[in-house]
Amino acid sequence: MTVYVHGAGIIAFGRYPERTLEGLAVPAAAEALAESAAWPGDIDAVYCGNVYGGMLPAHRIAARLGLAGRPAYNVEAACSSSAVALHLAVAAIRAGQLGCALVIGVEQLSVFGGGTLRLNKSDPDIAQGLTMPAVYAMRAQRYMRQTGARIEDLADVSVKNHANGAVNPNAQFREPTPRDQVLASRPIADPLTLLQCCGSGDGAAAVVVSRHRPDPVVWPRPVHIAASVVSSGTTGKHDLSREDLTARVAAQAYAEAGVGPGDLGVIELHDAFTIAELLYYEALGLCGYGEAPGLLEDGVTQRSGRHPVNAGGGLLARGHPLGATGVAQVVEVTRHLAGRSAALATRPDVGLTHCTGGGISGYDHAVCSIHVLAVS
Amino acid sequence: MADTGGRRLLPDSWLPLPDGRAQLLATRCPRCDTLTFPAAQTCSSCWNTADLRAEPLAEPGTVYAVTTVRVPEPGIAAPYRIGYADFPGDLRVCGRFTGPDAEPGDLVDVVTAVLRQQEPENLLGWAFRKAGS
Repeated sequence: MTVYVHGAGIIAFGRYPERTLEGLAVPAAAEALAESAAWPGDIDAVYCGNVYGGMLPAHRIAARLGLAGRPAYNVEAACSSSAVALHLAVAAIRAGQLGCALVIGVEQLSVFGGGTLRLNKSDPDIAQGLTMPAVYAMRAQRYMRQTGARIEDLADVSVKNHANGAVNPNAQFREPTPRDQVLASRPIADPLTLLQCCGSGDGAAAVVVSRHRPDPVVWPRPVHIAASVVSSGTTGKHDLSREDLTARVAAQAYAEAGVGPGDLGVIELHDAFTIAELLYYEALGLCGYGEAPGLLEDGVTQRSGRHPVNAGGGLLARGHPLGATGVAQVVEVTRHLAGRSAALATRPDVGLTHCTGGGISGYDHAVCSIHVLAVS
Repeated sequence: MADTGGRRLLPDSWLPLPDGRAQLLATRCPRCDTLTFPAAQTCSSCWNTADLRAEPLAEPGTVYAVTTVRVPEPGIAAPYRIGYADFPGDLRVCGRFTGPDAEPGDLVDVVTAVLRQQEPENLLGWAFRKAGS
């Protein structure tokens, strides 16, 4: 059974401490619902990905949309929350349990002030002082040591993504950042500096997905979910310079969609830190081990390139309100595929969204979720 | 480090020794021979709960990766060094680093350290110190 995107919505990411979580989500959901032309009775279930918003965010948002009284699911998977929420909705539709679902991702980090994410204090690694930047700093060190990559290569990821954010009206960070500025920004965990780390903020995004084909007038280029995969990381020792979980999930996604990395005309991946984007080029099969800096330098992943990555700024420049990111990536890829965006050099037919989630000891990452979307 | 009062992180997984050093303790399962760290009451491999034994990690460890954290976990004074050291038995252990900077590949001993200075009690744990320093 094919699952189509009927509507996509997103709010401009930023800091909105005076608003409520529901108040952030409702406009994004309303935009998706309006595009889908759905009636309330058409929405069989509501899924919401969120981490820090307290109990029952799906239900709180559904009430404000007149969508109470039907199954609603609250999904937490750290940074992958709304991607996992979408995966569950897609699986339920494919299984014939429902026909149409509203999937929301929302997060409001501004109410916590700034700084690094608040992780489980009872986690032994966190109790010892391990932060997410520290984990990625060690990934950067191992990768640079093993491959000869330079800190400038990492900084150039931030340069690209901030340049992309500057032309994305929904991005939180809209200022270009030259390489020198990235390298000179405040040290967070050696060798990563502030502009190499995604910032803290608020955001919301939503999609309406359905087993019915969408209105061809609204969607002359209909977008369907060609693959939806979730898995967990592994315990034990990991090579910090290789993202094996992503490679494993990507292989499954490519097999499900019947495509390879060479087919991807647009990619949104989990650039929580600059090093992450380089590691994920390799894990997604865009290039071989150690070749990511060259791919970036050759312009392949620029908006004008063959495989544009994070054309809207990614986590680094669009921002990373945890629960919102998964569906935000799907919204952006959907709009590129549908021809609603003019940001890329060529209109893509196949796109991929990728996110990971972690922050607990024992795993490389707790979660990885990949979706492949394609024009029907 | 001198005997300092405080609460111990993962008290089953390490013991302070008299000379300021510390002993890391893993759990050995007699049924499947799996070694688990931190210490556990259930084997992570075969789910056995009977006759699990505490087994000290052999030292020294070898540094796998380490970074200097400049924006700290709330409650810890920055900068501090934290990372991973590998021990025989295929175990990789996360720990703070103390003393002269150890780099990947260096051998490290395990010592007792104050991880967090906090009220009402400090948090004590293990830390890695470059061998011979």
